[in-house]
Amino acid sequence: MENLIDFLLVLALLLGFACLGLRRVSQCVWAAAAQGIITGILLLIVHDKVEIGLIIVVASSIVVKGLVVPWYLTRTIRTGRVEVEVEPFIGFNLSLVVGGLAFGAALWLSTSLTLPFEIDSELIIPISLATAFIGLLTIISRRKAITQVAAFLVLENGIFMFGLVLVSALPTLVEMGVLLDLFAAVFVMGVTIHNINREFDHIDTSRLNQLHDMLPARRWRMPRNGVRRSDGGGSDRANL
Amino acid sequence: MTLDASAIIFTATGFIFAPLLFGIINKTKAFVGGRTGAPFLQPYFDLIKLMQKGGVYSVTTGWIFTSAPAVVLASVGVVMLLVPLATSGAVFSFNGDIFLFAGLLAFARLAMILAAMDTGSAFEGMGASREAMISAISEPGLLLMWVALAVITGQFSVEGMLGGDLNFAWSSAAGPAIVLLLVALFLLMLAENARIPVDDPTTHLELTMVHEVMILDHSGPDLGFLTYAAALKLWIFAALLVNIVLSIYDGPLWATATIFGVGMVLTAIAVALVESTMARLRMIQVPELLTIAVGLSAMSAAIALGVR
Repeated sequence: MENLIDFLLVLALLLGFACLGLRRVSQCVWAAAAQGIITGILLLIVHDKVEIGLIIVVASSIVVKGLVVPWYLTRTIRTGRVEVEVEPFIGFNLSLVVGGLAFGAALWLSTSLTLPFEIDSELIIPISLATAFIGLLTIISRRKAITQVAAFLVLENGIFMFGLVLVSALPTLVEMGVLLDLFAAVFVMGVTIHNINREFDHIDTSRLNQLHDMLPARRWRMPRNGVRRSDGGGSDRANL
Repeated sequence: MTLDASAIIFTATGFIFAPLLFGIINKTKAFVGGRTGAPFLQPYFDLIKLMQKGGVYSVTTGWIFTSAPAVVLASVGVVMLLVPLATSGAVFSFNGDIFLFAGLLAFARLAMILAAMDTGSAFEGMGASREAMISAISEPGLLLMWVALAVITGQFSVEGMLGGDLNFAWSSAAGPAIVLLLVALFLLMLAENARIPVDDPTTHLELTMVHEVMILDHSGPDLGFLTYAAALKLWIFAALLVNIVLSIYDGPLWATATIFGVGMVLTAIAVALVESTMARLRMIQVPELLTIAVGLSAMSAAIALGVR
């Protein structure tokens, strides 16, 4: 059983890396969704005895993270006519290398974390930390809002996996609450993306700072389909 | 160092059956493509035909060009001797022979690159440059793979790493690390043997070629040597892959050998299926694929270190 936990954990980590390295927004969303399903299964395996509350948490987390959220996000991609490419600030290779370093850092961190009790697998802590790091890295290094939502899912999966350590201590209610937060956050992001998209033709988050009321008298237009690649966040003011 | 009869028989079998892998790959690709395809033994017919021909040498080439095929075949042939059959041991083995393994493959590649540049053809120089680029990324992956295996098994020879200690490792926490290694090794095998996502072995058109362009000026027995060396190299990588999977099984030698044979055929079919379903990657994406392979090796080593 412990071996199965290890395999699932490594698979979850690889899916995190997939989310970091894949080029298409929809692939990234599905990688995060598959990771969500795996974390749900992990929760089921880690528990010694199966109870009603556990079944509810596992089933709802698999349904929400594995089906509802990706369905909703792919729908947003479709209706919002989001372009298929991810458009990273940091290139794919460099992202993967940084992700690898994050994993190394997580391994190092986990050796210095001593727990007062036995856990099922030594890999839970490093992999959950690494998954959270990778989620954060994806959030800050991707230009599209929808990729950031998927990355948020990865981050949440990492936190969820970290919860596997505390499996005896964490009440069902808390897990349900976390799941509800996630659900709400994704839907809010979906609605926001939809509305941003309707107003501005694109959802390039690096240019959200143009929304402040710096030039009240002058109206400017966002370039149509305007995804300019060259500028990072800092140089936006020059483009007004 | 003891000479083991079963190891010698196994290695001899490898020398005989290596070109058959190409036959299986081509037949599978033909089958998937809806064609009849060349017979399984076609690589042997090609080799025999090439051996009966004479060589043609350009006047601009020198001794580097003429000696390269022999150097390549000899290097790869020695590496063959290091590869064991599961737990039965290799023909010879010593602590640290992983560096001989990597070094001889690198030496064979160096000889090929130099020979390609020796022709003075811009075309072959381009192929040589690409080969150098690909190998510069894939070799760290190969070495990291050995590092991971060394951490997992605590052994420092090819024979020891693929031997009984790996069998114990499967059921320990290092199991996922071995699976990561297998994926990395498969990607490295495709890259090192110039198979499809990295290079197209069936064409001489300018945009695709890495390996094929470098052997363009070789003819007759020289070409035969290089083709045979390529077959041996594919055999070596496939044998590593199958050996790592096979280490999960601990049974009598004849059963192991049978499973090994089936595994080699399945590996060849897997390579062929990848080639049938994928297009070659753009040259700019090849380093990304190899980075993934290197990253998987590194993660495998890291996990093995973490759970040790």
